[in-house]
Amino acid sequence: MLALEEVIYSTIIVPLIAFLPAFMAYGIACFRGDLLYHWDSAKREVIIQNLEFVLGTQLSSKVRIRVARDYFRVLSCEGIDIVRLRLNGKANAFVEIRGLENLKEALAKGRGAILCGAHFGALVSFTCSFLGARGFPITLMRRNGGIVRNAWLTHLNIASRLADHYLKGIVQPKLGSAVQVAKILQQNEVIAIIIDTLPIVRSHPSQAVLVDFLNGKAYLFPGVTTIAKFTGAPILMNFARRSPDWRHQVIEISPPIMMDGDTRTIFARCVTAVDAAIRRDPSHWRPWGRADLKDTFVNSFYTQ
Amino acid sequence: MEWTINTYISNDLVTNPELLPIKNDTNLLDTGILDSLSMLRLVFFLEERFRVKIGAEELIPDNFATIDDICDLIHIKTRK
Repeated sequence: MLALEEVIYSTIIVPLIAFLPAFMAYGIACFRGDLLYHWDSAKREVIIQNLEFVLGTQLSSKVRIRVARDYFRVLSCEGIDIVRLRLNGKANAFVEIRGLENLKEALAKGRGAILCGAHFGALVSFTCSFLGARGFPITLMRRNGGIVRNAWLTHLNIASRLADHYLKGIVQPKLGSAVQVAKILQQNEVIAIIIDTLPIVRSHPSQAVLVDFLNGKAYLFPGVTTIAKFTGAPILMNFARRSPDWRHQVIEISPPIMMDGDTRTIFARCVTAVDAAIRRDPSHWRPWGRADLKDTFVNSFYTQ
Repeated sequence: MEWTINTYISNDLVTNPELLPIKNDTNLLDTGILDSLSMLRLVFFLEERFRVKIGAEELIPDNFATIDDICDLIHIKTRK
């Protein structure tokens, strides 16, 4: 039933309500998010348990419940963002970009730029598309599926297909992808990379390194810093977060990450930025919904 | 050409000394010598050293599994 609801919402409801005034469109999206919070008890409990496992007593139980509710709201709003962006750029009035000069200054130096982020808010689907719609040549590195994990649902999901419209291209993580990324940067274009892909600890690939992350330690892939050091492209941390009214968003682009030190040191700075973004707006972090999130941490708040 | 590529890979990409010496038919992918990031360095080396351009569609395991495969690729590109 939940899968059917997702199909109906993504393929029928989102395209329809996106035409409505923003307060109505996002109001309906939030209402749907609240319904999901109540219906999808399994996922709700996974989110709440993961919040407790990782953040422990840093969040009260009341706040964990609110974060879990907001998690579903964020998911519901995302498709609206994309469709409204596609409809004559209607999203523009509701999106503020802070730090755009950092991206422009990076590209002015001719070595491209790396937008580094996380599975946070609407980065994968919206932020890159929004910047792409403003004329920045952005290639996104991601696996197939985009904002919708189910492959067949992706084909049906209008928002998912529209999200790629303003992207220059997509590079899938596989052998040779680093070469593709480097060549794109050489053309003075922009690559968007997500660095919080958490592998299961017991089967982590050799390329992953153990880093401090969210009160514990987890394996993450530092390839972004290797590519940055190789090409000379600056790394700009990039996050999108919703305002309390759920309609407005802020896209933040940081100044370049300091590149002194070895790859691991530089990568740690990127991870610290991701960590801070998650703590500030925990409801925006997608991996809370992972049933196996506990298996991706070497230790946690409670095992320290 | 084989010697040049073998020397570069042995000196610059192999991080586990137990894998040395590598033969021209050693599987670079299965042994972990080549991954996406080390391939980055290798491809840029090949392009500069042999004055070729390697396209995205050529970045496939068949072309980089062994040093022999890499040489075959370079031979094809330099013949064009």
